[in-house]
Amino acid sequence: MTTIFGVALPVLTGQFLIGLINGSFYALLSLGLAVIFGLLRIVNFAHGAFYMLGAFAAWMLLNYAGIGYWGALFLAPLVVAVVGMVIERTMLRALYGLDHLYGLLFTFGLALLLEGGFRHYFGTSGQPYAAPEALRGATNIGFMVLPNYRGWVVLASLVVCLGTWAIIEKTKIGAYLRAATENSTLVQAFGVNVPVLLTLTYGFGCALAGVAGVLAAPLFQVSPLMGSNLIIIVFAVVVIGGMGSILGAIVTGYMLGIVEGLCKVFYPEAANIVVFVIMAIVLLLRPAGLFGKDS
Amino acid sequence: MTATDTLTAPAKAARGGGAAPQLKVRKLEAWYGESHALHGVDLDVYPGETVTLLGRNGVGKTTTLRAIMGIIRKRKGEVEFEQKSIMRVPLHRIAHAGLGFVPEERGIFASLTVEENLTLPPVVARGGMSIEKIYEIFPNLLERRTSPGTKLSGGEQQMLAIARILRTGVRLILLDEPTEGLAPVIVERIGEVLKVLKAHGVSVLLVEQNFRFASRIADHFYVMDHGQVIDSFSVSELPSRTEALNTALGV
Amino acid sequence: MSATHADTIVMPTRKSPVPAITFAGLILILAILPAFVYPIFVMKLLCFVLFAAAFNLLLGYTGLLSFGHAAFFGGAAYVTAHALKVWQVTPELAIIAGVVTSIVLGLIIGVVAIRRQGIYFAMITLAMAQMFYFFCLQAPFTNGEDGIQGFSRGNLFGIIDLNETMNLYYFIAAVSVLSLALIWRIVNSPFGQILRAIRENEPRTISLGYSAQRFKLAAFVMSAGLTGLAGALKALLFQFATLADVAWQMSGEVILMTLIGGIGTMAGPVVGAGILVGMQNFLATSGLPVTMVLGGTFMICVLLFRRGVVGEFLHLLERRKG
Repeated sequence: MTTIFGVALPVLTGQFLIGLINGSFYALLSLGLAVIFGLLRIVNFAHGAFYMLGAFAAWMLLNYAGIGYWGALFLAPLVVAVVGMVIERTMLRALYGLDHLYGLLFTFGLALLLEGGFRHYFGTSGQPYAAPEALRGATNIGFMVLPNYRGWVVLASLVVCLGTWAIIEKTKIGAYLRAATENSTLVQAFGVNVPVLLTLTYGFGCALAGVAGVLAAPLFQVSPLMGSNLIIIVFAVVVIGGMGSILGAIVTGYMLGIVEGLCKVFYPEAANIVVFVIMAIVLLLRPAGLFGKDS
Repeated sequence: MTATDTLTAPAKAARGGGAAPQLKVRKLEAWYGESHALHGVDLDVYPGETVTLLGRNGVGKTTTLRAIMGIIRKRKGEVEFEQKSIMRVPLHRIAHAGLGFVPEERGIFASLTVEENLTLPPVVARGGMSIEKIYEIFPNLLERRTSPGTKLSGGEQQMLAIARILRTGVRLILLDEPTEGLAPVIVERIGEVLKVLKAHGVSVLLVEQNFRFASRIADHFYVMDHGQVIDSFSVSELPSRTEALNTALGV
Repeated sequence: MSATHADTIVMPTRKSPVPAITFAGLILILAILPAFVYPIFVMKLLCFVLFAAAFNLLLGYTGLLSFGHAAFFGGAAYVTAHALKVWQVTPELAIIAGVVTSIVLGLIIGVVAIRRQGIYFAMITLAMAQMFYFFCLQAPFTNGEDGIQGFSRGNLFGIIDLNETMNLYYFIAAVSVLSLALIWRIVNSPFGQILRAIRENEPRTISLGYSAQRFKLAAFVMSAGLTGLAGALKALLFQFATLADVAWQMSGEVILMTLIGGIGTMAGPVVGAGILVGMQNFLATSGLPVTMVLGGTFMICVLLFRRGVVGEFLHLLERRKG
């Protein structure tokens, strides 16, 4: 059997795949955080809760409305986006112009509220959610056997990430977003309805978390606390990448997922903390982060 | 319909001729936080006019433009544009009333290409210049249309900042220190651009430190001090005022 | 937005007019309180008052929002519990061991975190504390999910039996009052003034020749050490240390205490800790979802009540004076 550094190849590729899957979620979530932060200057602590909300929306759509995975993949992020936009319009809006820390504290409270609420009604144990018929089973791709659903998650997250990047970099609305990120007052003075742009951006960022939640539902159990530890790792990812760059958020997300996966092979004790250790090292060497411009 | 079809002939300075001012500012006060920056500014811009605000640094010229535009929200008094009050109009609706703004720092976006910068402000009214026409007047913008906006030279950035407002069809432009820090050759070019604006019937409220530049293009002048307008005269009165002005502006 | 709202997260500090009387009053209240309230409840309250006051030293007076103070609180609790149970040292030594642990942790986390400001500082402290949480989850001496429990409190200085409730009460009360006095002293010292200057305008402070980074680190370590003291006392009081003490929820709770009470006021953390501990005691028996209520409280405080109870009170007083 082929071995690399004394590790059997299937073990290595298996962990690599797990890393890639975790990386897919890190990338989707840190992308949403970066988009929201760029324009609203709000660190969305509730991002993990919105991810959980996406998974629960899918589960509820299935159990209460009979809508399956493919419908949920479209509807659940929409639900999350609407929730996010209502919160932005009614509450978050009041915090613009204040110290950014208030946004962090408010969304922290929101995360506790959402997670606490779901835990109260659904308990801490997870709810199962089956992968769609079409994606069950596995495919032999030569050097390893790839479970179809896992392959789909990696593919779907890549498409969503690159699609988001293209929207921001190549479209008119993306140009508004980039310009408003630099100087929202001037963009508004030009006649662009920036308040609506802020609402849409927050909704879109939350929808990205919702997509991640639906993708995660069949992989992990749908549970109220599924996002609460994840969000902290994603924060570390964002600090490593630097919040300034959309592409940076995506690349750092995948990269750290893979590093974490491989760490499970070579030094499993440190797998939980490797992302944080990397964060500390990056901060000591390059405080602005790998892709950050500001310092 | 092409842009040139709708051009009106340059309006004669209508001051005193009975026509209503296009922009009418009365007792405009403004605050930066706690500090009271404008103490009741009165001024008029008539259709087709180029009006210049003169004054030393820090007397409130830029603040006046920002308060008219509504970028400074903490303000009092009255601003009417084309006989309608715009004091309560939200910032993003002001441009749609027909008012354009070119800030002192030019506001070219680094993350946007030259062309994206150019097409960013929404077209708010008919009669704006087409992209083709703009590229005709500013050939270097065409050449560099795909490079990031801030990679342009200072002069080119100023051209871009004015050009993108030309596209929108606004009827009055608030223009803050367009010649600041630019070489004489470029200042000359900007002067030509302002004449093109005038030929298109666009009014301009200009803040300018470069008095010689302003004296060549403006129809009317206001002098500001301590957040108020202290003097007002037309271009024909300029020769008799030069000496007094030099003292007032500390030239 | 009304301009009278606090636009920054920190409030100008107000010197208590009669600090000596205030402290004398505090001592008096603490002396007679056990006659009316369960001493255990008062002691628990004191631990959290100290925790919040130590946290406020950093947020209120230096302008740094740490989201990782659970690491210092829980880290010291673990070491104190371990020292009592395994090393079987006297309680004062166990507490010192706990405090030293939190100071070392404060140095490590502080050196990394002070490289960034504002929200980044908050995220970095959160991440570093989470790293410590995972360390505690896996390290054998913490006993994982079970925590360290079932040990005697021992005899203070080898003579005073802390398993006697009232002995413990006076010990914890004395340490708490002394620590609060120390915090008051720090805040009102030249050192504290430099911290406030950094909070108001860091570049200016640097241009005056102060190394802002060093002062921030010093404040961070002091805050960590005092937080550790609170955690050590809590471990001594309840005779256990668990993962809940190092979890990020604990960091969130201390933020909420300070926010409810009033950021940057001396009395704020005392009031805030009182409200939150009281609220938790009430909620624990009410059947309401505690986390949900805490989250809602957080949101309401940030939206409507940014000065906190004490801050609003002082603001009202000031307006009345004209």
